[in-house]
Amino acid sequence: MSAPFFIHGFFGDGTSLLIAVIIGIFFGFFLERGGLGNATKLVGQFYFYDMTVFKMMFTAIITAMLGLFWLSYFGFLDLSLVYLIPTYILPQIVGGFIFGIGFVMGGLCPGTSCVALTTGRIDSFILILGMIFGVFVFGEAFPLIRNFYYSTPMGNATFPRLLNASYGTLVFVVVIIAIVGFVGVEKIEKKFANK
Amino acid sequence: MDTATKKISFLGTKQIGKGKSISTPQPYWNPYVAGVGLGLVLLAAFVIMGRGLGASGAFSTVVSTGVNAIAPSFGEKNEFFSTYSDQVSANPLKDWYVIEVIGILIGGFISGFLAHRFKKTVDKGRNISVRGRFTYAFIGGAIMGIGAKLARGCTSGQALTGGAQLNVGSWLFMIFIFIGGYAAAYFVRRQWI
Amino acid sequence: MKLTQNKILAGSAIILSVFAVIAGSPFSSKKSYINPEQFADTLISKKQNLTVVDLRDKKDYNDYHIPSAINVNATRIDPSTFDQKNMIVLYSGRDNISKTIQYKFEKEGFKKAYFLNGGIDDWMNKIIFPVLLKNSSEAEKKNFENIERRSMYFGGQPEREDENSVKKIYRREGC
Repeated sequence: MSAPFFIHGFFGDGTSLLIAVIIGIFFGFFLERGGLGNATKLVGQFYFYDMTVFKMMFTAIITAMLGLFWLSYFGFLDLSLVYLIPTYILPQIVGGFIFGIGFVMGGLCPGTSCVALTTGRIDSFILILGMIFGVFVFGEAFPLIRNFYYSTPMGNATFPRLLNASYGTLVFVVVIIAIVGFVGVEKIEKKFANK
Repeated sequence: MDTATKKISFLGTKQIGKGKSISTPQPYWNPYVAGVGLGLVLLAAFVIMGRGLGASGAFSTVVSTGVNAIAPSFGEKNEFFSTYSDQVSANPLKDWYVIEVIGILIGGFISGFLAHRFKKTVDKGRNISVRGRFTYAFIGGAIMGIGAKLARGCTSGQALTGGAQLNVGSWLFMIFIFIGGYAAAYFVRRQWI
Repeated sequence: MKLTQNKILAGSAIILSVFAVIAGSPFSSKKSYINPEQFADTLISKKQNLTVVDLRDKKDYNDYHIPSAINVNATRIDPSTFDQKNMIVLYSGRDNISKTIQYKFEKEGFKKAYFLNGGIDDWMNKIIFPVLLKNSSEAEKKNFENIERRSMYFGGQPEREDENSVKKIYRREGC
């Protein structure tokens, strides 16, 4: 199993930073290609006139998910060495809900705000200032909320492990959910366009 | 002056006649194709680095480095900011996510430039002023900053990355982003529609 | 044209995922690491033919090392000096270095080389200084007696959490 390359020592920290910028360039490139560098297009998701956010997010997820599965199955990638963000049920639920509110207010997320910034959008600059402020407030308030921040930990929890179900079956379920979702949102967009 | 309608085409082409300019913005790609592209970038990150993408982490590093540089004694006493001062030895450029975000800035520019979509403007709906948009943008950004830190990530880091890994916390985070967004959409609709 | 393009994408995804159902698990049974709990139990059972290697600097090794570990610095380790028939456990501060060295061993044909998952960090937090959290389940509370016994075997200090005892640090997790 050769991959992940960095974990197996194929290259050092300096090269990893070069890789960071290259990966970032492609990341930003595709985000902008899909139109996610534009706040009015992004929030269309929440007003049903443009469901690009859902389409791009879930396509990306199932692409990478299938890639991870098959590269691991054929012994190229050691999936157990890939970093998994630990699960903390309550903070992540509350964080998600809060983030969603901020998302529809701001119209951009941290990644897409960078794309919007370098395509000339001045509102993204203000939004980035807001995010910096938000992170600062979080840091300041951290001692007060640390109990909540570390509450309900589940460690490295993946659905196959949690439900004691076959990984491959869950991959299939996610793909089906995504495709049903795509068909659904295409209909929603058509309905909105006809109104 | 209503700055929202001021459009400066990056290539300096002027409107010729009625709405005919030399370089019009190209249409966006098929979102599914763009999504596959994103997915492959994410997969490359997994395969090469052993971890996924991220964006909010870079902001944390920048904020903490800033705090530690401007007011070091203040930062030392706070357990959040002091962690970052150790981990990146006061040099944000050593942080993988900061460099990645620099890449995002470049990549977004390249794509926008090639597609003639670079435009110095403010994206907003018809029924709100620029100042109103800026207010919402700042507050929304602040709320997102807090939400992302609580959840240990944002849409790129948690939703996309964790989503592909079938991570329980990431899926919960993602589902609740949509719930929160739809719940709040009605109340901020004046900004967009 | 667009419709066909999408149908091809959707079709490919469905086909790949149907095969995934058949394939079942993407993980190979060959594990490259051992968890601290498992490793501790292996040590307690005094397993024969076990080689434990501390990959850190001499100073760190002298400050503390896992009992029975030898010190071979990661920059100087040579897999050919080890016996392939033995079970070899490699550890470092976390597991970044030991992962790389374990892969080196694996490439040389070692089938029983493992890195200690989480390294000395996790060894300390889970074996030597385990903490029973306030909001643990009943089963965890019952099991903690075993964890305490194991900790004391290695000369550690188990702890049951109360308001003052938990160390206050912010760990950077996530992106």
